[in-house]
Amino acid sequence: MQGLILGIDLCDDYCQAGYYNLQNNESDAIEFDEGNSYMIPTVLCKLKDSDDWDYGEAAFKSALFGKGISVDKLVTMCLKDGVATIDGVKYDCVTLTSVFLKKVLEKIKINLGSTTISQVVITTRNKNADAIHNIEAAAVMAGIPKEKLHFATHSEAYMYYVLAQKPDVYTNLVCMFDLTNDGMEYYELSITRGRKPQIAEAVCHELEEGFSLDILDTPQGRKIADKILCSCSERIIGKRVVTSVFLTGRAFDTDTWAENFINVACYKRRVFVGQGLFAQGAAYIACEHEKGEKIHPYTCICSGRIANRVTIDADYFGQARQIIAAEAGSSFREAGIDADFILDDSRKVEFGISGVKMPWQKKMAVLLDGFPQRPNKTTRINVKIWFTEDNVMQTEITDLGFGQFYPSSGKNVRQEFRL
Amino acid sequence: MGGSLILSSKRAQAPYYVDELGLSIYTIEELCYYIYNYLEFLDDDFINEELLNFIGKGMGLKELADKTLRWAKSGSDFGQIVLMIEQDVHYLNGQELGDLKARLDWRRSAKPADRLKKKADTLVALKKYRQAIVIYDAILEKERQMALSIKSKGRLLHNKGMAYAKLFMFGEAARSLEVAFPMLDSVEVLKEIFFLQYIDRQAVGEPECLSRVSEEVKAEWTREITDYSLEAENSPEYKSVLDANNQDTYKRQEFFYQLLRRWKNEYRDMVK
Repeated sequence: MQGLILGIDLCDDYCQAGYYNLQNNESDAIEFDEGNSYMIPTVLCKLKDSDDWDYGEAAFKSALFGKGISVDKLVTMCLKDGVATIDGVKYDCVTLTSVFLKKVLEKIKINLGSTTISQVVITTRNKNADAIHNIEAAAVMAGIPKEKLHFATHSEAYMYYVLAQKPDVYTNLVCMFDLTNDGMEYYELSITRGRKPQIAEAVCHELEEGFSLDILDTPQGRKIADKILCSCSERIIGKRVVTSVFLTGRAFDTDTWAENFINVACYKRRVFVGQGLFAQGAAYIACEHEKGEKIHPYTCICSGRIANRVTIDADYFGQARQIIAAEAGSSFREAGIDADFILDDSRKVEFGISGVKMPWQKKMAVLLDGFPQRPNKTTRINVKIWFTEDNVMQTEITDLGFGQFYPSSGKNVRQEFRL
Repeated sequence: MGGSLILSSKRAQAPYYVDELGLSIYTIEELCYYIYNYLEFLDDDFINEELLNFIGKGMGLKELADKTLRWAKSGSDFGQIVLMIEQDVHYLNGQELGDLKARLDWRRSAKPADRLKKKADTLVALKKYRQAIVIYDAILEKERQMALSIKSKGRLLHNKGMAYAKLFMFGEAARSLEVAFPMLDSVEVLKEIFFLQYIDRQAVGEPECLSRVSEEVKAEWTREITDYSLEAENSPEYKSVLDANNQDTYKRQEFFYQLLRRWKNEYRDMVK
């Protein structure tokens, strides 16, 4: 039986989830409770005199009625390796986040009627990318097998969501405003056609004009908010050719307060308002992992994706080969190579770097200083490449010797490249 | 001239064991290296089931294994098959392949005694002196069969003597060189016997052939020995021994323990 292909959008204020429906080849948002509730507050409440926890809205209520102590902003806790003390017991961010994720997954499995997971992609705000190592540990603790777990930035999720829509949605620029209590972010996606492969590029800007959603509680506040958004729209979009505008985030649960903004930003443009966009985008990425092949023909360039192709030239049984160490458009967390080579009259390893927009290739090399001198073609090396950011490549080259003819010296060279 | 990289083949779980070298081979590149650098160790039965299993199952190179088997069944000789393997793997460059072909051609036309002597000489170069001596003796025992000339016999006895000398068996070394001397009629052999006598007079005794050497020549050879001794005293290894004597007790003991351990292991390898 096919397992669940899930996308989870984990933010400080809300968590949302989407799943990929293999029947209709689309992703859908997951409703957690009756009444169209697609958003779960990212809140836990440790119940008094018990080992149980409430989560989401139930956690709010339990804390409100004094039934327990709540803890929120789990993503920020993961970012800062935070710890919370509840009833005299210290809980680290990984434990707390795992409790929350476990509850969310249990609910998803019940709602979708399946207990098996095929792939999960967790997406977070771009600025919270450094929290991922703790979130990953939490997800594994919550029962998600590590090999089925992946991560994506909001930019990646946004891109995949848009590219899954009909092509006329993204004929020209596609803009998105994401407005939450955590701030306001603006996303923009453009397609470069006329080259192979075609490039889809997304950028994200955190806007200074972000405001607390509490101001929407009053008519004056709503007017001010509307004005702020109009000003942003004029400044950023202006008269540019935009095909579609997406509005997401808690603030747009009702858009009646943003009448002027809608008129200005969305005039003669297609408008999409709703929640769960990032979760559904993450579900599309999860589908790509499940299928093991790209689900669209574009090379994706955005935060979280490598903009360069990294290659190593080598011979294999007399044939010249270009080994792809990292492909442009791939997630930096999953790009890289671990392969063995034999040095042939060489004391360096050279990498070819080409950007999607660069017609030429530049070379970067790691010199193997200190590696033992041996007869030619009797030094096997292990080359590992991985990325710590989307433009920071780490390399590690280790001397393996040559079997039992020449034992390994254990010599090792590490170098970082900023692409 | 720019260098390049060769993408390494996978490593076999079950290696191919080489008796003469006492080591295991794990990749096809190591096998090619072994064939090229130790051709003298390979007999005609090198192309056997064990090799085919290593190439086909161990390395996953089924096509190459099948091709090797086809060639063997169709009557291709050892040299043709080995050259085919090297060409298909592309570990050797053009010059090395040419060199291998020349050596295979020599091997094809060489006398059995010459081929065996080459194998023994290679073992000497690898410091496997005991194994080399066994082969020298085997050739000498089958002197008539091998159709050895006087000179060939002399060279075998000489090399056997040098192998004994490397094993510090100076008496046996001198005996072998004494028999080789009249066959080779070389002053160099006399010098070598003189050097052996200088090192261990008790084991070597008074070889009759040395009585014909003049005192002036012996004095000159003695000066050579003195020069070699001075050279040895100035070597880094000797200096490290002197330095160790000036260290504290613990470091000195540790140094000599490691040195003796290394020498013992080296000697064990020589006499295996």
